[in-house]
Amino acid sequence: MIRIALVGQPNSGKSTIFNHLVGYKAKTSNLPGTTVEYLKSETLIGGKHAEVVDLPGIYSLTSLDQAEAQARNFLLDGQIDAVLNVVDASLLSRSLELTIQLTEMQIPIVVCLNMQDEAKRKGITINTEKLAECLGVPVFSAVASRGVGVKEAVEHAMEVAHAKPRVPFSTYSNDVEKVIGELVKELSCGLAQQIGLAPRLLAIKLLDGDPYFAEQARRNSFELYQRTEQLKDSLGKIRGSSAEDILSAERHNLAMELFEGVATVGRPTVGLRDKLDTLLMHRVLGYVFFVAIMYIFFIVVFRVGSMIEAPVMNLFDRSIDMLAQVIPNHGFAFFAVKGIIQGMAGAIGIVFPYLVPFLVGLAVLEDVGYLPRAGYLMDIFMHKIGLHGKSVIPFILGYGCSVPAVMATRILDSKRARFITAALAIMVPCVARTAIIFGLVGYFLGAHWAFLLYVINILVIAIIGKILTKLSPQVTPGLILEIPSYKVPSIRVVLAKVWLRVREFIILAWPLLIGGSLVLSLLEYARWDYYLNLAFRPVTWALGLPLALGVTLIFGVLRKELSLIMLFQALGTTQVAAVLSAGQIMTFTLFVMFYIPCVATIAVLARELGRGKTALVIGATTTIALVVALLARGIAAMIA
Amino acid sequence: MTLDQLQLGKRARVIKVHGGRGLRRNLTQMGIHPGDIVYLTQGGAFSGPVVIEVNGSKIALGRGVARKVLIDPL
Repeated sequence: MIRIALVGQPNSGKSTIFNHLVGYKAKTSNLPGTTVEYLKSETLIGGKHAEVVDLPGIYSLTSLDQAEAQARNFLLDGQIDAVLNVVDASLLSRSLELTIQLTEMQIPIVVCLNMQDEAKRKGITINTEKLAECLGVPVFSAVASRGVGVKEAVEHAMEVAHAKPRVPFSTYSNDVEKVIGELVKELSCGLAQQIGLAPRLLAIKLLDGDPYFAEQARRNSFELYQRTEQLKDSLGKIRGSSAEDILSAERHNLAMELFEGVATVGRPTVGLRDKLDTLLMHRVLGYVFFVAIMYIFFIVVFRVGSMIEAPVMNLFDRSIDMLAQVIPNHGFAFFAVKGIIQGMAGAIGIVFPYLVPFLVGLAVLEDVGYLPRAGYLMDIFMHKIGLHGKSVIPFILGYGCSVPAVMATRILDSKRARFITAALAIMVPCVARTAIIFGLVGYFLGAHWAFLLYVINILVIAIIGKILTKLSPQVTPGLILEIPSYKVPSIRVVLAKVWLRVREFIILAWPLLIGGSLVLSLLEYARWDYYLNLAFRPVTWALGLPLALGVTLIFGVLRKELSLIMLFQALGTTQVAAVLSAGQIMTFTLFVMFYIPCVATIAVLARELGRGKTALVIGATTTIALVVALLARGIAAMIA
Repeated sequence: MTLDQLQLGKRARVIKVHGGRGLRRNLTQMGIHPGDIVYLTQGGAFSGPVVIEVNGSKIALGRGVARKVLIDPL
């Protein structure tokens, strides 16, 4: 089967094209060991079967960062038949540097010039035919968000995948070409053949100082390694710079030349979107807007969620009452059916109503382009806890789910930063914990108490971050973050994103939630729940919580929402406020917010950080949970 | 003069990037090269990061990074 890879810089619209091609209901699979997950899907292009792979966005193929090195390796040995290079037309000159590198890989390539509308707004007009002629590869214009031109570009990618035309490469200046030529001679019958790479590509990679290929060369023969270093030095001497810098400058010049040859830059249309940043990124007002946006976001999620929660819960409550009239309420059957109904009530009535609006809101913020701006605003605070603004991305993802948050720490460059960010990001309340905060605290105590919990959460994370940096002080690498233009979110894209998560929730979480609820109900029937509760008694006793809550905390490790669903069951009522005091509700929720991460998170932590550090994180978060919850208990007692 | 000292709304030409290979490479990838003209659109609060416009894109740079970019104000 033909395999086509979508490659492009971050935010160039690859995923939009991917979704457009595979029609949202994509059978997606995650290749292991990747950052933002490579999405793969089979589809029909021009009546033929093809597999489309959506690679994470990369700026270049020479990077030292893990995610980009992986994308490069995938392109080199992923048996790719053709590359569809997605280019943000409004950033053509910069994007062409990646295109030049891609042509060097000698994989059949088609360039898809996306976001022509945005380019026009910036006053850039591009002569597509001329660009195709200069590059020597097909170029297609598209506006992927509206689905314009995508079909043509992809069908052409299929054609080149079959025809396999020779891909012309760009020529560098004479002195550089001479050195490349020398190195190619050394490589042709040796290393290049061994690792099955075009000699020219390998030569450029070696001159680029690519650590992976340098290592290959060194292992192959020390002489080759020495020869490479020698050639790099000689090139460096001619230009008074390092070989890597020279190549990067050369590519930049080539890209600029190309750009100037094919594009005309006129007057940009200054619109509302450009003025927006003077407010939203303002040094003072920016923070005001940030808090306001977050506040509105949570209030809307809460209002929508609680509007649905109340009637749905009522319905389930009544059905349990009815059940008690139909079958004797001491029997096995009653407990089994009750467990299932309560599980369903929790999943549908509590988790779902908050999950969906939350995901919609997050997807909109993401699509509009607000998240990088939040990263910019937060950079200063991140530095205070020994991290930089790029760490904001895992944190924000953490509000969705801790698993991608931990995976996203791969964009960070140092091991230390990855550890600290991962350890802190898992304390950010994910959607599951959000459901608990809203469904319990918000619903019974009011939205402002729920909002307060988020504020406490951020404070605790900041304090822990501060402590971690004190323990392992180091100068933090600086922030380098692209701020994309604002975009009007596309309803289709937002819904697709939400559906992907909701589907996962239905498939993975529902069985667990309903099954867990059933198990608890049966434990109750057999009266074994008492022993489980007893095992957890030290914690519930210390926090001043009823004995019955022990079991909810144990099950919460499986899936955080279980804590809440089982809470109703353990207390024997959905009217929590009647049995628990406000202080108890806050204490319980704070404990759940921080204690042991769920099993999925533990698994990903173990993979990304190793077992030792994962054990450390589990121990630390549980300690933090205890301390915070105890403080809450104390404060609640003082107020009362 | 370095980029962190550039005034809001002013233009400058990048002369050189001090610092390690990783940093130089990261900046190049984002489209910041010696010779390019940058325009400072936002200066962060409390001496936080700055935002520059270069080659049509907006990029936020931490103070520490900006301090390593040598510029010639225009």
